[in-house]
Order: sequence, then structure tokens, then C-alpha cells
Amino acid sequence: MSSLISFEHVTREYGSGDSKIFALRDISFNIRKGEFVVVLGPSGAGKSTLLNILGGMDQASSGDVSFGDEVVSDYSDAQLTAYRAKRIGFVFQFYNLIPNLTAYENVSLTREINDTSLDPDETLADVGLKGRKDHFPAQLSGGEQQRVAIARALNKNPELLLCDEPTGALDSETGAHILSLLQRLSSEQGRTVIIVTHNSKLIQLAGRVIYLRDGQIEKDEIQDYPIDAKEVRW
Amino acid sequence: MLRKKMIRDMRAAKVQFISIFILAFLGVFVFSGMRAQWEGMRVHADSYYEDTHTADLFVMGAGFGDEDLEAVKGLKNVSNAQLRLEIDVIADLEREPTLRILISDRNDLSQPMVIEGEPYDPEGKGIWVDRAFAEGHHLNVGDSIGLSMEGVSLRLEIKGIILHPEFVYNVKDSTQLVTDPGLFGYACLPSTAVPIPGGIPYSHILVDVDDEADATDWKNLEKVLGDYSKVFHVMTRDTHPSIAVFESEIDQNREMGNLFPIVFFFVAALSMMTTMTRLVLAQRTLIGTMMGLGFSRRQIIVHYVSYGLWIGCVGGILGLLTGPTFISALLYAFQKVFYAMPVWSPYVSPVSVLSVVAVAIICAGAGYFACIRELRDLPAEVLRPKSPKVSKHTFIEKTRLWHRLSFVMKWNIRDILRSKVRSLMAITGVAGCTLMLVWGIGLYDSMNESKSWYFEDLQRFSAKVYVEREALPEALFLRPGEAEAVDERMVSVREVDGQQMLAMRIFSTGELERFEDEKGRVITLPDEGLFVAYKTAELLDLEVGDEVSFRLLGEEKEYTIKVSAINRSPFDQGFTMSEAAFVKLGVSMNPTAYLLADRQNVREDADGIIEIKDKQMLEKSFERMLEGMNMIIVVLFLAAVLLGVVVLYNLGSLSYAERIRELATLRVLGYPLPHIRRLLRRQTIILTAIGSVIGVPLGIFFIRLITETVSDNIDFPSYVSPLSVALCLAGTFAVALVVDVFLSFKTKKIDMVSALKAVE
Repeated sequence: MSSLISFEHVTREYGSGDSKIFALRDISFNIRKGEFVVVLGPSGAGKSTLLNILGGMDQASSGDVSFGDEVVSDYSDAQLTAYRAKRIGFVFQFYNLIPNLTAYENVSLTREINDTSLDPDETLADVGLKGRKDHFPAQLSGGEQQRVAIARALNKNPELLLCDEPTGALDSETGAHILSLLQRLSSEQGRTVIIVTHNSKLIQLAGRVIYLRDGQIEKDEIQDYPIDAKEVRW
Repeated sequence: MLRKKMIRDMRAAKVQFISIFILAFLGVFVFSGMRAQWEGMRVHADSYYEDTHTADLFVMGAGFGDEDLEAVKGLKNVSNAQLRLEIDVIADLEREPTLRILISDRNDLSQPMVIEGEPYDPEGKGIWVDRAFAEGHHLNVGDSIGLSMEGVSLRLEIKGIILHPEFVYNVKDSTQLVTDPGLFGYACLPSTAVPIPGGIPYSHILVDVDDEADATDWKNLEKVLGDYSKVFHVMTRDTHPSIAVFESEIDQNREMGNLFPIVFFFVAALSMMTTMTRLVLAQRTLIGTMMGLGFSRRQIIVHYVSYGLWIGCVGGILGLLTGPTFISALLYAFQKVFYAMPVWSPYVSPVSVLSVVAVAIICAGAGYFACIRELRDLPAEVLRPKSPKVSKHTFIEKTRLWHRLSFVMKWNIRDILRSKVRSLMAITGVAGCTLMLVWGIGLYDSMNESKSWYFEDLQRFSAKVYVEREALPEALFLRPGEAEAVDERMVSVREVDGQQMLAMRIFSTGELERFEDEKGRVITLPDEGLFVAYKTAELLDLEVGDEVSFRLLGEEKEYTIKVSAINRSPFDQGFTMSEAAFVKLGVSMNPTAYLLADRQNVREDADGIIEIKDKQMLEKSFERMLEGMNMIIVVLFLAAVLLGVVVLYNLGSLSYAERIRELATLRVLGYPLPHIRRLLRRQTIILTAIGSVIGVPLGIFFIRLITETVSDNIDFPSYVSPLSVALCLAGTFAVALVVDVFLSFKTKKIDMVSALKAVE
């Protein structure tokens, strides 16, 4: 299968001269379409920087980042915005739903910026929230809110579903349901999913795990038999 | 310690605190400024009248002498009285100006105030001339001036330059709004300087009433004097033309000064409330910590209240220090054109100082309410971040219209309803902005409308020729048949509270003057009955069909006539009749002026012509008044723009700060910047639209308030053209859009990564 995302010798540094700090140091990897990847690392390993670059919120200092046929690392601000709008479905740790929009309206947000958007009703049904669409975020539980957030990400019909600690704010049982949902989306719809986390328990679920440490890739493993999130004992 | 925290908090939210500061400053600036301005006029007028022993009652009549004076002095409650002759003479100066001279043998009451030269001497030999007249004719102390009256000529030395308390507002007659000192002035003369054989036939008795006299005593005294055979009319200070006009000017300024600052105070309170609510909310955990550390609830509340107290005090004190000087200077420059006062200076009364306290309390109180609303919970709960405000499906969402609204609109409407105080602040501020724009432009429109109404619609002549009574039209005009005769007199009308002196005009045909009734329909002078001008009808409480009785100047007989219509005119208040109706009363007309359609009709060199007034000249004197008005309009506009900018910038930065997380999220989701700016702008536009729509009728109401209280002699209908309203709305939106441009720079600074972090 062809590569969807490729990092080639990507370095991200902050500051200059003596106070230069390397957040990412000469990182290279490829992710194929349809893969379910967990990026794991302790805090300070460069996870956030990687996430920001993948999500089009930050640019590499050197090296190439490609998405499909395009070199994202050359993009202007406007192109990056379009990249985020069209290709990335972002799932936040704290859901980041707009509080005064209903579930349905939060999901519909994507239609304002993305013409390939799906039908919000169907997407909400996909994540199991058919009956809750007119509720405001504050009227939903944490797990439900994260489902709405996933639906909002999915509704763009994105090429990549990028999740930042998607279960970080949830209890383990609810977290398991969310992860199971992400797994299902990957296996049934063939979506590419990247989860960035510091929670090592998540590695069991992924077909591939990238271990980050001190801004470098420590290990890049393929797992042939990932476990269904529902079967993991938390 | 807490003070340091306060200063740092203020620095962190500087836009909000600066805007509250500006509003507190402006509120006090305008309030204390306008108050000091009219209170200055009041205080100085009072001491002027006091210092010059201005009379309490002015008895007018003919041929008063010493025995009349003694009779008046003998009346109950009269503490002093003085005789005076008031007469118009022609001075032998360029343009042959009229000089109204006041001749008296004593100097006890209504004393002239000498500005330059010798003190006034009631037994002296010279003349004391008014300041404006002296300046207008470049006269100095020591110069001499020739006067002629009724064929007698007199040359007198100018001993002094004076101001007179009864000539603060000084116009020759009601056709003039502003005195042209080149044409009219006044002077005081001791009786010893005028040798009149057989004694001076005094026209006035000035009366000083006992301080102990109560209202009934006054009324009785007025009645007794009014019934006296030689008396034509009795005036009090309340009805004295100069004193009353100046008094109503003060009232009008007070009216404006009380209304105007309310908007600022109100908006300052609302801004303070939103800002403090936000601050207290943001510092919830901190407050919990403080409580945990042992600070009492009281201490914490006092801490947050002190924010408003400081801002209110500092802004207020600065306003108090600058407002009175600045606003008075501005308005006095305009008023000096109309009124001659010895002193023009603002007076800062305790009430002005209290306004600083008031604004500090308003700001502190707003902070207090914001604070206790958030601190109701127990410390343990306060430590946790507050759960977000829950949006609700409001009634608006049940309407059919809701579903047609765009997504951005729905979002903004919910946000507006969620942040009610913030929205109310914005709406009030914008309404205040539009209000002041409409007010300013409306004053201008009303004046211009009155001008064209008066000079173009009502006055159909091109020149008015003032003539000596008894002059024959054949001697004055080439085609006497075309000249319309007018007899302008003063009449005295008895009413419940005393007497009113009013102007009466009698027209030979009424062809060169148009009359309009209350509905603006053209009416013609009837052969029976009289027209009462709108303001006069209000004053005397007259309606069509009522009967009114009056006396003519110098006569004892009382005439009674029916009111046939109420007519409207911006200036000519009083009564109007046709010659036919006048003759039916058994009196004959005695023209004082003629109206001409054709200026060429007049024989320029004819004897008996006092003055020829082209309509253009009259129009110019009115325009001169409008020019002064422009200054006030500019001030209103500046205040409007300032208020609009402060409030909208505050709104924008508040709503930006409150939604920063949402905006960052949208950026991550891929919303382009222009899209986000549109989202923010839409809210500004919705609130601006609501505010400005509310502001228009309020502005119109304010104009009406001002034009209606203007004075008994002036009837300005309030008028705002639709174009002006459109301009005001456009102006308000222009302010909103300019502010939006500045705010949009903020959107560039949205940090997407902040969206990933936990809620603080």
C-alpha cells in the first residue's frame, strides 16, 4: 500500500545559539493508508511537536513532511489552514466542543470549511449518538462529548484521524469505548488513525507503535495481532 | 500584597480596565463639566443681581412722578422703590444706532456695573454706555456722544463703560436674535444730565420687595400695583425679558447636563460588571486558595471591590479636574454671543464632587455584584473550575425564522444570549453613540428646518422697513399700495399668576406673511378674532374658541377677543390680528413697519424711515447663531465616536477573550482567519444594529426635549431628516467597522496549541 504520510529527516528546534532546544531530531518514518498507529512517549519526548507538525499547526525546521503527493513542509499559512480543513480530522484530549452549539451543530461545523463533508446525522449515528443530537455539550457526559468530537473530526471525511490523548480525560471504561470506536473506524472504514499518547496501555491496540524518546524514534514496531480495545483489561 | 495583585490583574486586562477608566472619566468629565457650566451661570447671575440690587418688581406705565413713587413706597412689603425712564434715542454715530437710555435720579436699584471709568453718579452730568455698544463703535471713556430724541439734541461725555443686570440678554425687538452692537445698545443717564422742563415723565417704577414677603404678599403686591391707574404692566424677575431668557438658558443647560452623562455612567457600570465577572471567574481557583489560606470572604470581596473603587476614583477625579474648565470654555464661547455677563466662569459645586463618589460607587458596586455572584459557593467548590454556562434552546429557536438563519448567526445569537451583561453593555453603548449622533445632527436639522420654514415659507417679503409712527406710506414708498403695513405693539395679559407682556402684530392685509396652523395648513387672518402663537397659547393655556383679554401699552382699557386659531412660527410668538379685526375693537392701526415684496419700492432718503432690514440680513443673524451651535454638535459627535469606540472595542476584546479557546479550536479544525473574523464581526454587527435602532428614537426624544424647553419666545419643531437618520446609522456602523479592523489584528495571534491544553 502506498505511503500516506512521510517524514524525512525532520528536525524541529526552538530558540537559537546556545539556548537551542531540539524537540525533534532527524526523524524519518512512513505511514501507510489505513494504518492504526500509536505514537508513545513520556512527556518531553517530542510527542506534542510531532502532533503539531502532523496536524499542520507547526512546521519543521528542516527535513520534508509529505502528505500523499504533496510536500506539506513547504506550505504557506493559508495552505496549512486548507490542509487542516480538508485532510485532518483532529480529536482533542479535552474534546473542545463549542459550548453553545448542539452536538449536531458542532458536527456540522465542518460543512462550513469542507465541501466533502458528510451528513452529520449519519456521522452521529456512526458514533452512536443518534438520539442526542440536539443536546448541548454541557448536557452530555465526557464520553459522549468525545464521541461528538470524533464525529466532528470524521464528518470532514478526512484522510487522517489525528487523536491527542483521546482518552486522557475519561475514565477507563469510557476510554475503552472510545478506543474501540476508533479501532472500528479503522477496520471497517479503512481510515488512517494516529493516536499520540503517553499511556503505554494503548500500544496493545495498535497495528503499529512508534516509540519516541528525547526527540528521536527509539523503536518503530509493527504488531500483527492488535487486541480489540474491549478485551483489554485496564 | 493584594494591591500588587490588583495592579498586575489590571495590566493583564488592560483594554477592559482602560475602557472602564475612560467611561468613568467621560461620565464625570461631561457631568461635572456641564454642571459647572450652568451652575457657574446661575451663581454669577445670582451674585450679579444681588450685587447690583436688581429690582424685584418692574412696574411699567406712563408719566410716573414723585407722588407715584411715594405711593408705591408706602405699600405693604415694599422696602424701596426707584423711578426710571426707559426711552429709545438715536445716537449720532455711524449707521445711526438706537440707544435705549435709562434715566434715573437715584442709584438704589438695578444699578449699572461699571467696568471702566468713573463710578456711576446719579447726580452727575455724563453718560455711562454699555460695553458691547462702546466696543462696536470704538467709544472710550472721555469721548462724547450726541443723542437726539423727539427733536431734542444732546451731547454728553462718556464717563464710564457699564453692564446692566437687566440687559444680560439684550435685543431691540423680537425680530432680532442676536444684538448687533453697531445698531443697538443701552446707556445709563443721571436725570441731572437731561434738562427736561416740567420734570421727567418716568416710565418705570423699580420695586424692591421685603425679604420677609411670602408668595401671597407678592401676589397681593402685584395685584395692587397692577390695578394702579397709571400702570400698564407689572413684571417680576420671572417674566422680565432679559432675566427670564437667561434663566431659561440655564434651565436648558441643566436639562442637557443631567441627561447627557447618564449613558456614560450606565455603560461604565455594565463594563465594570462584565470585566469583573470575567476576572473573578478566571481567578476562581485563586480565590479558593485565598480562602484556604485564611482570607475571609469579606477581605476577598473588599479586594475585588477595590478595583472599581480605584478606577472610578482616578477616572472621576481626572474628569472633575478637566471637565469644568474644558466644557465651560467651549459652551461659554457660544453663549457670550448672546448674553452679556460680567463674569463667565465655571462653578464646581459639591454635587459635581459627588459625581466622582457616584462613579466610584457605581464601579465598585458593579464589581461587588459580579464578585458575590461568583462567590456564593463554598471554598471547596470555588477551588474547582466552574462548570461552563449551559446554553439553552431559547424561545427564538422555536420560531420558524431560526432554521433559516446561517450557522454563524445561530452561534452568535446564542453567544449574545449567554453573555447578557456584555451584550447589554454593547447595546447601551451603541445606542448612546447613535443617540448622540442623532441628537447632534437633529439639532442642526431642526435649526435649518426652522430657518427655511421662517424665512422661506412664512416670510414672503424681501425687506422690512421700520418707520416712525404717523409717517405716511405715500412719502415712504414709490408704490405705497404694494407696501403691507404692520403695527407691532406690546400688550399686557392678565393671567392667574400675574401678568404677561406679549408682542402683538397687526397686519393691514397679511399678504406678505404666511400663517400656518398647528397642522401646518395655511390659514389667513380673519376679519374677527385673533391668532395666538403656539408657545403663547401654551403659556396662557389658551385654545381655539377661548376668549382672551389684553391691554395696549399706555392704555387702561381692557379688550376682549376670541382666539380664532393657534398659529405656529419659530420666532414670532404672541398675538396676530388683521387690521379689520383690530378696528372692530374700536382701535385704529398705527403702522410701525412696512413689508415690501420689492426692495426697490422704498424711497431711501425719505424722512420717517428708521431702518430698512433686508430679509437676508435677518437670515444672517440667524446663521450666526447656528455657527455657535456647530461647536456643540462637534462635541456631541466626538463624544458619540469616543463612546462607540470604547464600548465596541471593549465588547470585541471581551468576546475575543471569552471565546479564545473556541477560536483556537476552530483554527485547528481548519477555519481560515477571514472566516473567524467574520464570525466575530457578525456579533458586533448584530449588537450594533440593535443598539443603533434603539438609539434613533431616543435621539429624537432628546432633540424634542431640548427644542421644547428652549424658551417661551421660540418654537423650534424638532426635525430630523431621513437622510440624517441614515447618516447616523451609517456613522455608527462605520465606528463599528473601524473598531473591527483593529480587533481583527488580534485574530492573527490565536495560538492553536493553546486549544490542546486543559481548561484553566
